[in-house]
Amino acid sequence: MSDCILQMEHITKRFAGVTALDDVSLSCEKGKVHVLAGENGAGKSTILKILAGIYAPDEGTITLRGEKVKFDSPADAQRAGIAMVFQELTQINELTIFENIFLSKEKTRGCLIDRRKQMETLQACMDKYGLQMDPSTIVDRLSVGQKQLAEILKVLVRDPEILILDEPTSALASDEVQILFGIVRKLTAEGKAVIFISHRMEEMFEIGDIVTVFKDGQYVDTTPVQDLNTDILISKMVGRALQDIYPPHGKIKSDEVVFELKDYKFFHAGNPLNLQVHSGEIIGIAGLTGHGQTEFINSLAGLHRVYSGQILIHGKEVQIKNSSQAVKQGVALVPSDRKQEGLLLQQSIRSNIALGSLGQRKKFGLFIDRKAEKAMVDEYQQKLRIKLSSLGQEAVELSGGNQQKVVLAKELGIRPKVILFNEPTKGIDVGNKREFYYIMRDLADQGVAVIMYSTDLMEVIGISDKVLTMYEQNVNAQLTGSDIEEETIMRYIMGVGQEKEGTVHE
Amino acid sequence: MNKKKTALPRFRGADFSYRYFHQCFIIAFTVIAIVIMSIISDSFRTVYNYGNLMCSAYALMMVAFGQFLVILTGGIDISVGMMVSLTNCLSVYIMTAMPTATGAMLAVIITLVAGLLCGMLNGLFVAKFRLPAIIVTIATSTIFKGIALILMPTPGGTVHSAYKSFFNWKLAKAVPMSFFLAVIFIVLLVFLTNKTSFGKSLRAVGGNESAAYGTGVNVPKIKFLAYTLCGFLCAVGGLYLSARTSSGDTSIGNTYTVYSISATVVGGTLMTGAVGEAYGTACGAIIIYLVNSVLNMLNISTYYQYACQGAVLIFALMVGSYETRHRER
Amino acid sequence: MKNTMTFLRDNFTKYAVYLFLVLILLLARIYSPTYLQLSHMMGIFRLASFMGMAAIAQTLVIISGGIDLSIPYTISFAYILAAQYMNKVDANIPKAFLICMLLALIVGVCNGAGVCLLKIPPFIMTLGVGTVTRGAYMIFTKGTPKGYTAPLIATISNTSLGPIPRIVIVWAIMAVFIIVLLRYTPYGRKVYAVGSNVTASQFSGINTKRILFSVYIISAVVACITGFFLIGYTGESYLDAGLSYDTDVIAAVIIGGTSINGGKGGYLGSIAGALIMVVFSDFLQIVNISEGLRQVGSGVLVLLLVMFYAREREVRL
Repeated sequence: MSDCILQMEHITKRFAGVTALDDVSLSCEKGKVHVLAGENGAGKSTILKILAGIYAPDEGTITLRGEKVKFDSPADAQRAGIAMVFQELTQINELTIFENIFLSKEKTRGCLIDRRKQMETLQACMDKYGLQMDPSTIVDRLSVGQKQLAEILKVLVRDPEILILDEPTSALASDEVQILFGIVRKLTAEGKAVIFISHRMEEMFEIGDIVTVFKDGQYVDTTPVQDLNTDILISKMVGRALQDIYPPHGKIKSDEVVFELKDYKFFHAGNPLNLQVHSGEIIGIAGLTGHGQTEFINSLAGLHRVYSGQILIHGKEVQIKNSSQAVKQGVALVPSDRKQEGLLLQQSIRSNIALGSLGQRKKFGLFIDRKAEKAMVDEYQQKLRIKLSSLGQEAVELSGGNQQKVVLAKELGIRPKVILFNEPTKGIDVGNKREFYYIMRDLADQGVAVIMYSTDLMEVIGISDKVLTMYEQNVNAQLTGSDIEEETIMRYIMGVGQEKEGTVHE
Repeated sequence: MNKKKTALPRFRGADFSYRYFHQCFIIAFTVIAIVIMSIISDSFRTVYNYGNLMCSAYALMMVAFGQFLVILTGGIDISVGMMVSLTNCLSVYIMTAMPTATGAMLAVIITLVAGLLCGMLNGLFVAKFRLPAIIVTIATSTIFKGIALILMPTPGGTVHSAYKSFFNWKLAKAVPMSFFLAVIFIVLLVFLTNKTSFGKSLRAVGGNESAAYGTGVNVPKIKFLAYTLCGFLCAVGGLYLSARTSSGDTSIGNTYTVYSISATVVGGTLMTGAVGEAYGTACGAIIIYLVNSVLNMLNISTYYQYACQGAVLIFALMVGSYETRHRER
Repeated sequence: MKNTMTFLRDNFTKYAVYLFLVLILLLARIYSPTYLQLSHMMGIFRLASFMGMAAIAQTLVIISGGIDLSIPYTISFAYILAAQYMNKVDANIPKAFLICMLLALIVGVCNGAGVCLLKIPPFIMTLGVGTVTRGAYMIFTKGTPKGYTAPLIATISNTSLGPIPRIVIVWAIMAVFIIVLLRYTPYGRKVYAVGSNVTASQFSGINTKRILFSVYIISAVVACITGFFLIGYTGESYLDAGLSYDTDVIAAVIIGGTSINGGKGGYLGSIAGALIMVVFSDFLQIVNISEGLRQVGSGVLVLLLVMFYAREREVRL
């Protein structure tokens, strides 16, 4: 236990009558990567925010390097050598990487800023961790993944003893994830401790040493990673064995084409795409981040330009020039960023759910039909089993999984003929993920065209009947049947697949 | 071994353009406008006229600098105009009551303190009590006007002669005091907003408050200081106006609020905060008086003044908008 | 009991402003027993009508997430145009009205174009348009506005139907219109949505450009209507008639509980806000203090009121 750098014991935290953490413990050792696992709302973020000095625990103690400590602010925790990288980026977009890093930690020569010294420190840090970025780049110009890396760099410069990462890989491309893992391994090699929250099983097993599981604000247990496998871990998190994460593939009515694209181009220099979606078919899109997947999906929903080609829904050609036309034609979109793109956080859940389909419930053609609206909202709240305390609650108060369900409810309210998903289960715990998969299968069985994109390859393989692989803004293969497996897909999305673009592999 | 000096981060290309495009444009615009006017009009080309332009613009420049600091933090100060009126009336009131040299000095000190206090009042409600800046400063604007009216119900008063000649002095009968003061303040402000930790924090708060907070910036304190400095700078402007007009008038500040916002925006400061430079704002202030001056020279009636001011503002906005939209890929 | 408490807490913002209005009226009554007399009250309502109309425009724009600083200038220009083209003749009213609506269209489209298409922040865009509008009517009148109100408009703005001033009836009709629009139509919901989160609204299928454009056009139309009736109230045409309807109207809207950031609030609160501003200012006249103290008092009142429910969220991660 002398390796134990941190011990949090009997921590309890309450928010306005809700007990977020109930007598939990967490400890971590030097030189080890400690994974914190659990469903949404299990309390993982909360306990780490307590450690980072953002919240104060109602009960319990924190022991750091053998001494009891109390943090009154994030600055306190930072001084004690604890650094946290959040899911929400804390970068000032208008400043450069350099300026963001040295914002309130100016090294001064007298009262002037010593930029040379700062640059030396920064360069040394970048060299050490193999993370090279141009410090004079303005953050606004970086991609999301690069911003996340700049965020991590900001924290590394302070040379923390304990590094906390809250879902760091959700915005990263796979090469960037490897850079991150390289940094983590370097840190642990130096005897620092890393605490890691993730919902992605493969990552937990690749990089983690020890796994602690929380459930419903309570501590479950702590196990070394070699004693675990996916099933055991899931059953700990969910409290029961989770059978059949992915629903069985449904019946595809190959004579009924519900959605079709002819000579479709959404990039100026792209190859025309021909796609047919049959009733009962779920289409999955696989690709490395930044190869046009979001643009493709957004173009189908009227949010990105269509350069040429036709869209046919149930055999009839439709015009989708903007998002309201898309909705009128019955195209629904569940976007990747539910907080910025999917929800009105300050509005009630009821308003959010009703938002997409306002035009459909009119009394006397002019006014909102409140009764119909209430019926619709209640219907979906029950169907999707959204957990809330009242429909008048503000959307921001729900957990990630339930927020995503609200977005889904809103889109389903359109009674869509086509539904698009962009990273539908990002940041959602495994129990809710499973619910989403079953909902998608259900929709497909009802004849709705379901098209989804996810960076989680396992998910795409598990749920799709047909996989479109994308590389450099083009769909370069449409895989079905036995071709839907990891190696084949990986080859296509990296651009080294076998010929025949736009055709179907049998 | 490590003889090679570590390279400092240098601004290039797209990053430079992101931050400085609008500033370069505005400086070029101002210079070209002045040059063109000098070529066209004989009466414009006189030393007296340049001096006059500088003097007219100086008070606005001070107020615009205050507004600039506040807007950098993402806020706004509608009360600047009335702070100018208040400080003008206050300083004249004191100098009328005590027409001695001591009186003049006292007036300066008390007025500057008053400016600080007014700024602090704004800062208190915006930063500490977290009320929206626009409504707080609307309210304090009325309060400041009221105080000014209590001091000087009707315009008038006298100003100490040495005080007056100090501010109206001209080097070699050509270069006015206001020019030197302007240069000093521009240098101070550029240094403050770009080279100090405080300046970077100001921009951070304007860029993303919660991010700034997470990085350890004391957001309420920074905002409070911004409004306080704004009050101080308005007081400087008010003191200058007292020397220039030799009287206290509560309506003197009426145009300054709108003009200061215009000057700041024309000078390339984004209303959303974090982006902007002091010299851009200075050019903005000059442009505003340049427009009026040009119209006078060309014998166009004053009715066209407002239209032209508005047109200049919208033109500057469109330039800025082009840059922003271009940036958004 | 618990239900009442939760109801009060959730809706405090919406109804608190009426509480304050009543308080101030009581205060005035204590000071001056004749204060609550019907004739006096109706005079106040008549004054408040114009502020209330301007507040309709401003409330709508603020809820959509913007602000319209061109309203005072639009009112002034409409005022001048109305006087010029009515020129004491009732038959000219339709023509004058159409010309004002043309102005509204131009101003509204300019504002909308700047905010939607050029992505210029509403504060500064509407300020620019407002300044140009002022310049426009300066040039138009060459400094000397001409014309006079038509008798019909003067009657509406100055006389009463029984105990109620006709202009208050006009205001009430407009108020009902905006309240119904905001609360009971899909359009209103969309305005709230756009004010809450433009991106999410767009992703949900709302044509955000259309909504924002329409908001500024409606604002300009309402401002022109205000100017139109304002000339009826004063009769003679003069410059800058509407300039006092800037900060006071914003204050009325914010005091009324509408959030400056958009997405929350409503016109019902703005009505009370407008009334409070007018009542308090009137009260200060009666109390017989200097002009300066009156101004100070007015500012202090606004500060105190917003302290209660305009607090913004704590900065947190």
